Amino acid sequence: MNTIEFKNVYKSYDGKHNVIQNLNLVIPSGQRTILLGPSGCGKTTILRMIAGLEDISSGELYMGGKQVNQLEPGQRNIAMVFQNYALYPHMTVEKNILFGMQIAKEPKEVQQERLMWALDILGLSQYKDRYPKELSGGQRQRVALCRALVKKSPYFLLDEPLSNLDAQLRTSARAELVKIHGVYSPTFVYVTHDQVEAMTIGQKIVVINKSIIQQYDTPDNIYNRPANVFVAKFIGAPSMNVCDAGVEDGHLCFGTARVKIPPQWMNLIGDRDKVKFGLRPEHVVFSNGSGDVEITIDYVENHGNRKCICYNAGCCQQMMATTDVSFEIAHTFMDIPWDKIHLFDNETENNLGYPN
Amino acid sequence: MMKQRPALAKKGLKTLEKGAYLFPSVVVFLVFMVWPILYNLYLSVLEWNMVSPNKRFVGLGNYLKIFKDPNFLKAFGNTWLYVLLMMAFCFVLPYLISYILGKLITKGEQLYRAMLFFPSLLSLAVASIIFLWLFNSVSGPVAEIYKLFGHESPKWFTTQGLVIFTLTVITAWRSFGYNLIVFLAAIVEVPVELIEAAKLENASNWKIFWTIILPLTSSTALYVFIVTFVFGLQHVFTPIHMITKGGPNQASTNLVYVIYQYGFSFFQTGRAAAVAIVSLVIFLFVLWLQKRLEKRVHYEN
Amino acid sequence: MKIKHQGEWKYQLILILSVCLLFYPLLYMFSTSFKTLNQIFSSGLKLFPTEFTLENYDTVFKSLDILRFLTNSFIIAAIVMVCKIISSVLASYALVFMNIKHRDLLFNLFTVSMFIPFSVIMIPNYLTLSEMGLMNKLLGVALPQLADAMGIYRIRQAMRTIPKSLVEAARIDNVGHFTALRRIVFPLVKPSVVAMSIFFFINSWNEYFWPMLILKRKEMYTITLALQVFLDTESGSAWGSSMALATIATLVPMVLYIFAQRQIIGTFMQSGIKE
Repeated sequence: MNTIEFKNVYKSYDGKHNVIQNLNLVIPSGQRTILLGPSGCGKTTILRMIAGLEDISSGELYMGGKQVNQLEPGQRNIAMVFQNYALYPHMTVEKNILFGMQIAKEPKEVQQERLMWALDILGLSQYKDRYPKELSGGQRQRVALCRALVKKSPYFLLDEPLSNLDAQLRTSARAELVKIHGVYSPTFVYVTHDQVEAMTIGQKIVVINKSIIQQYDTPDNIYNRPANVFVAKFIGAPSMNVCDAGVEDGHLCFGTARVKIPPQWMNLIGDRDKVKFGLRPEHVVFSNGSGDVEITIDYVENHGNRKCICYNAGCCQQMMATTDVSFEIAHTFMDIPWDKIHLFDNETENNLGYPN
Repeated sequence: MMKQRPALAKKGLKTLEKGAYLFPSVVVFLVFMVWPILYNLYLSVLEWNMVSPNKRFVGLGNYLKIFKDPNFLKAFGNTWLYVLLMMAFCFVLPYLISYILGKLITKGEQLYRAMLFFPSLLSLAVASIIFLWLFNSVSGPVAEIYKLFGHESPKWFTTQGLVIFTLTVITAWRSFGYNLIVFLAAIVEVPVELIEAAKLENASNWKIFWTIILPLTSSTALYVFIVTFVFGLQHVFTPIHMITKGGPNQASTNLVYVIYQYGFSFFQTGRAAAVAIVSLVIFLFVLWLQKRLEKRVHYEN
Repeated sequence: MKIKHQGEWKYQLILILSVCLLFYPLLYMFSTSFKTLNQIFSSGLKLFPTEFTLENYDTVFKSLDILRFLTNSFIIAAIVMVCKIISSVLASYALVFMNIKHRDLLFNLFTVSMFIPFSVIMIPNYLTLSEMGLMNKLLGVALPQLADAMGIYRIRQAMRTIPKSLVEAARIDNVGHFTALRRIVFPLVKPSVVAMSIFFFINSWNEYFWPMLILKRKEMYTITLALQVFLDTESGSAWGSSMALATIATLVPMVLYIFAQRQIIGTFMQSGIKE
């Protein structure tokens, strides 16, 4: 099978400082796996290590069960789409796509057949004889995908392929990527910093921060059960409200609020006297007249399809809630929805878990 | 592990490949640029006339002798006059003209550029011939201009001091275009907003040159300065050799030409090598000065 | 971007003056080559010949083996050009696209070598070539000039404008370095390569100093060296012929320049000379 596995991999550029440490990761065969994280977190380095464009300082990399540390990129049978598409400006679209097959000395009929097949899938047949500079950004991106597609490689690597497209194109491009994957289901490794892309395209997401894997799970789990505060805040827009709170006598305390903690949550809290609690903006519950916490509304943003309410609940920072457009603000209280809350350890910031 | 051996062999091949690409350039440089410096050092401690099989070791004798030799001293003195004049013609002038060309005119830049650069691609030998006649003190065009005013033309090639001026003009005529383009490339990069802001404050073009252009192109200026210094003295070799052969009475020889004279006219190879080393030291010093100034300039920017 | 203002005509004037000053010697050479000796001495400042004559060219072609000189020049310039450009392209490619340890240091060393004064290496190279038995041979002139630091500088500059990802994409397609150079990098830096090639050719054609040291026999002379032939006669009687010979020597560089001037200037104006 075409699994990619990192075992105890370290990477350093100068022999002293490690940019990747103790990486252990198994990327399953045939699935769309996303490497997600902020700039500089190491995700592109990991992708390039798979491609063979970066060396591995120590540890092993296995592809399809074979150790490939020393293999040249050209011998790993991979296809890659670069962030800036890397199209050869002096070659037509057709020549760009055929280039790899020409080097591999594929028979001419196979070359043409694959060319037309790929162009067809991506709707580029009429641009075959154009040069890259005559194409729009979106078209160039599709040519890059074509070029990767014709190889029919078991490994398909993508380095932020949508980041140079404007917002509207990105939405349609996302669907197209999933469609392409469906053509022959290669092992798809996709690097991005955009969590919407990750959530919509990925079957599995690896959230990375500062070259350490924060969580490796399905999009649903990452969204609903984030492993730590970083993941919780990175996924979801607007991002999750995470506030400091004290635990006193079975009550959650912040600002002027003292909310009784249900026993199943107290079990998870143990004898901690401080926690962080997280609440997604769409899960905020407002109440009238009375409630768990008194709040003051700071301002309201009307986004057309929803409203974003910025308010203060006496906790360390301003909180955000998203509601229906029809929502009228007359509330001065917030309730803690214990079925939607997340609790994190104050020091390690790890998720304390969820009651059964 | 068995896997190590082919991996090492592969690494060896890769290194060989890298070496192959660099090899041609590196070999030529080592043999014809680096090795000669060492060879020169060796020659400078010998007394030799380049042909006889007898080479006598004299230690620092050559160095001591040249500092007393009138040939060397005259060459040394002349060199500074050459440098001064070259700076005027090959540094200051192109700098100002490139400012005009790059920022002060809106039409015709490409044409002027092409025309002013042209002489740089001509031979100094050709230039020498032309200017030899142009400055002919009897009937050359310059002499004719003097006649128009009722004067006699000075003897451009046979007067002490003046001959250096004339030879510099010949060299400058050729170097001007090249330095112009180098300056132009730097000036073109000066952001127009800075200049527009200065214009809003009613700054004169001259002020703009001093306070904006100069600082922002100073690293290029330093480069041109060095190139003019090091190469100017070498380029003028051709006119000297074709026209005056260092004369009259060594009035036009310089540090570079005198090496040739020591080697191929006086047959004192050891002294030639010694002068070469001395000139190398001077050039290195100037290069070091430039690097120091460049760092300071960098910090200030 | 330019500063627009009213006083532009002043500056246009200065530039026109500069061009005139710079071109006058050339026009003079050209026109004098068609004048008789009498005219040369009597025409004063007048540029154009009142009596157009080809006698100077006649003398030149009759008394010197011009074709031979031109051929010598051509051979040397061609060898130097080809070798310089090949070595520069290879070295630049290695410095930009290959993982070479200390490649910046190497590049700096190349750049510094540009400044090694000819005066320092002239005598040792002369001796070396003499020991190699290459004295008085065209190859002897060409040999020390088979590589060029300026060439490496400029070509590397051009190659650095190519995104690394292009070569990486090729590597993923199992393309070796040489094929990547041939089919991807080289086509994209062709203008600079052409410009530098012509620049090398012209400079070699125009050289005087080094060929003068090596080539001693008249039949080995380059056209540029041949110019001194008419200067040896100090009596000043060979002006017309000198100018004719000078014009002949200038033809090839001039034609090449007109043909490639845009690219040459363009290459030198590429983001200045320092990074």
